[in-house]
Amino acid sequence: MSASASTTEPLLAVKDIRKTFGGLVAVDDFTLELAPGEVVGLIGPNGAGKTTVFNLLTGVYKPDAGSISVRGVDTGWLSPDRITGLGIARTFQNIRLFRDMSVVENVKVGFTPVKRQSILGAVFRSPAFRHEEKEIDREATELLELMGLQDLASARSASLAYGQQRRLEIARALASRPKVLLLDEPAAGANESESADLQQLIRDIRERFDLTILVIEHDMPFVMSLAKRLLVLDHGVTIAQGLPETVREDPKVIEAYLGQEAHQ
Amino acid sequence: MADFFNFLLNGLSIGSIYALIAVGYTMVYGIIKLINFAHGEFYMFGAFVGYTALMFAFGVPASGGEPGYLPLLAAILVAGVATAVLAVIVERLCYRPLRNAGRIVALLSALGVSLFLQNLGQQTVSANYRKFPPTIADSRFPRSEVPLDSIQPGDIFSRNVILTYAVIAEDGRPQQRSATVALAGEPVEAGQLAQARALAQNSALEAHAYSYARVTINNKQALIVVTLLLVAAGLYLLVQHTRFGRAMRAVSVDFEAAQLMGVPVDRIISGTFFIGAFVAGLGGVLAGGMYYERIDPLMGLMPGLKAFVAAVLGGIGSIPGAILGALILGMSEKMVEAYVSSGLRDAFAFGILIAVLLVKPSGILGRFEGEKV
Amino acid sequence: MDFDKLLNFWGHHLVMAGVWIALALSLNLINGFTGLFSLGHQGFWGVGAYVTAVVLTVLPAEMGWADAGMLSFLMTFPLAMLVAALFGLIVGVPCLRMRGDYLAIATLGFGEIFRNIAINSEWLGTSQGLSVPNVFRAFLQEQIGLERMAARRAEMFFYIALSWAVALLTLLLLRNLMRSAHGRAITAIRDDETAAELLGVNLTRYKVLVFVLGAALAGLAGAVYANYQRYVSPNQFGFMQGVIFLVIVVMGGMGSFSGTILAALLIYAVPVFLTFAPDTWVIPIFYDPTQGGVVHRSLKDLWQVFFSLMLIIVVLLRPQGLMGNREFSLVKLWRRLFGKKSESASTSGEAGA
Repeated sequence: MSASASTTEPLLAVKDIRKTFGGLVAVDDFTLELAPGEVVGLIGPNGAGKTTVFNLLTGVYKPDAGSISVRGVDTGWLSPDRITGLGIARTFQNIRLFRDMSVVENVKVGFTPVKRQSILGAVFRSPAFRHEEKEIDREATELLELMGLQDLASARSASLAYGQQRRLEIARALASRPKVLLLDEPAAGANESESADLQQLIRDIRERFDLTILVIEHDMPFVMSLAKRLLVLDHGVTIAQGLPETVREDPKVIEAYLGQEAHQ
Repeated sequence: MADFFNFLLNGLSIGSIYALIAVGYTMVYGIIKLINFAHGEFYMFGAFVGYTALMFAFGVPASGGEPGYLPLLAAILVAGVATAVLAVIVERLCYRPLRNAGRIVALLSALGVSLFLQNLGQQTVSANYRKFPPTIADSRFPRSEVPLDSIQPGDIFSRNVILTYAVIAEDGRPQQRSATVALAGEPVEAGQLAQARALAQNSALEAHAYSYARVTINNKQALIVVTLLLVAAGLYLLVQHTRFGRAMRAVSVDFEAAQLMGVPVDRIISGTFFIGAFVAGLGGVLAGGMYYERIDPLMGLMPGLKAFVAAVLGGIGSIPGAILGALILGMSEKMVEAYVSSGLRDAFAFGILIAVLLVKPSGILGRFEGEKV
Repeated sequence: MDFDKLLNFWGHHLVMAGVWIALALSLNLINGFTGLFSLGHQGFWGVGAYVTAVVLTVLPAEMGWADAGMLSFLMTFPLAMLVAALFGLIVGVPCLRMRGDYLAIATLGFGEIFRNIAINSEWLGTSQGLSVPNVFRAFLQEQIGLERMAARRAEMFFYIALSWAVALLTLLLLRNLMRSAHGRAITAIRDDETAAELLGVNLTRYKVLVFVLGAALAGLAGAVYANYQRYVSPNQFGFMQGVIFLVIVVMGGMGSFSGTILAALLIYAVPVFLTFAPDTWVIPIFYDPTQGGVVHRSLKDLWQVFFSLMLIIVVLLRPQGLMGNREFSLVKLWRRLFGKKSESASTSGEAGA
């Protein structure tokens, strides 16, 4: 489809997926290929089906038609935890941290797909188990440092400020060492300087962890500066895609989406 | 074959008892998504209020005369209202503060209320069974009277002929008994006939001999089934054709939207508890009291659980579903009891529960709600 | 007072308290730590107890073996765990598909089915139950050569040690499990099942694990109980017994080990101490002419009423349980009572951002 996808095998290939809820079409014939290292923005007005796409990609919903493959593996009827294990991780639009757990514990849960412990080892505190725990400790602390949350490691996650919670969700997602990171409105609620910091942070982690990123965002300047390619959804249908500059000029997009927001 | 239909009718009446409890379960679940564990105790409470009313207010045991429908009706109404008031208080004190605390927390509170009512009952009215005062005379239908004088030794009847008479029991009240006069297809024995005549002569109440059809229904069972029909009709009118019913449906579909639309949600929920408990309370008098004639503080436990199974089977949240589920459960339980093993009846009922939850959690008539992500 | 009488009385209660702690802890794994709501724990306990009775009574009689010996006695514990774990699997797998209140009712159904089958099975002694031979005392008297009195004392001490050892084992096992990646996965499931799954936590695996482990530990407690009590019957494992364990977990805190242990001890001990109240301490509670006028009840009788009232009040005031998911610590208590304000704020776990 796109020029960049033809050179390498796509990390994520979505073909013509469709999802309806009780007769209402939420996502229709959605197609997307993500090449390694790409940052793609998914935009569209509220209720356009963006989060539904994320839910389909991560296995929360199963598509009624079409196929999704992650790194060449068809996710067909895989459960969400298996799909995560293939190297895809996400954050949530309405933050879903484990509220009763501390900040560092939240990150540690993220290691689940990559750090396997034996149950007997855990119960008997075997040397291998203790070594593994130390490693998880160290790596979790590193991720928190990266997100600037190291001082809050033992605080309850629910006590964090909104922006900190969003960054903690990113740290938690990174713990599973994903190849593809799905960010659902990472800049929501952020002011201008916070938004700029976040942009820098996302660029940094992309470099550092060699990530491919798909990001949903309402903050247009934010997504335009970050993504090299945009997809625009409206009522579940992909109405435009391509370079940010061309998408911005597309009359259908202006009508559906930018029209409402242009005067911001 | 006649046996089969007798079992079926029997099961129908037991199912009707479950249904009287199950409608309250399902209404409350439909509106606030709470499994009101204490609902079986409402049934128990109703039976005890009915007992108290008959014993001390309407003077049934004191009169010593023939029991009747009027005191029973009065007891049912008193018990229904008292139980309904209790339910409204329980909802106000123990469930309403927890409305936003999650289903499991509310379920725990309901469990607490259930335990509290059982334990309080055991410590006040005592844990022992007590006999419910007599209400209406037992009889079976269809039947035709055979005048005792007209029977001659050697007569052959195509159906069993049974004498119904009464003796004065220890408590000084008349108690109904029955004796066989003739077995179907066999000549009447002179000795047996003479004995029956003697019993009839000394009977405390008027004695009659009847020949019964092969398939019969007990008048008390019939009364329970008829009550259920009346309750079902009443609930249908209430839910479909009144403002209250409309509001109830609105709350059950979307609690918050209903609140925003100005539906007095608290009052609707209180009303739902009132009606559900009213029906359970009258069920307690009819079933535990009039029909089984034995009441105790733990009597609500099993019927309550069974009614819940029935509500799930029919589709929890749906009133017709609860009634349908209860009737199916009652009849199939009876069949298991009759043709498989009487002991495995309860295991069977819970087996149904688990099977429904696994295969079709929405039950026969319910709708299933997915979860939002 | 006579030493043996004291030992019999307090020994019995010590054994039972240990059994209760073990059961409450394993139930807390399922209900508190994982947030699955099981009302069938008494069933797993019963399975363990019945396995013991079957191994020591039914099998020798049916198969014409010699009377059960020490080997059979020792085998009852792993076997009880194994069979109870199997039941945990049977209950756990189908129940995975259910959520919250539906799961509660289904597990309750399983518990009642177990009891109903026991009541109706000649093989399992129907409602009469089964008696269990006192293998351990026979061993003490015949193999060790202790006198009858000495053997009785030794037996009591043995069971006190055994039941508390089982409680301790349960505690250590669960504590270590919870302080690992598995424990974090389990807590994550309780907090947000969907988010946990999206982070790679295998829900099926953990829910089954929790049911199987909880059931196995309850089965072990069941084996201790059956061997000590030397009698099993369906009524010992009724729904109400399960509710008591549930109340312990709720009061102690869904997800607190120390809270569970304290609540188990408290709820077990209060009625025991109430039996010491003089007979004259009665309260008029009800007027009932059919019971001869005013009904008086002792404090011990009223305990059950008070207990259920307490459940309602705790749920209303502190739905997360008395301890929540915090652990009790003397150091923290000391700081909180006598420390400076700032210190107590930092220990309350509410460190602000």
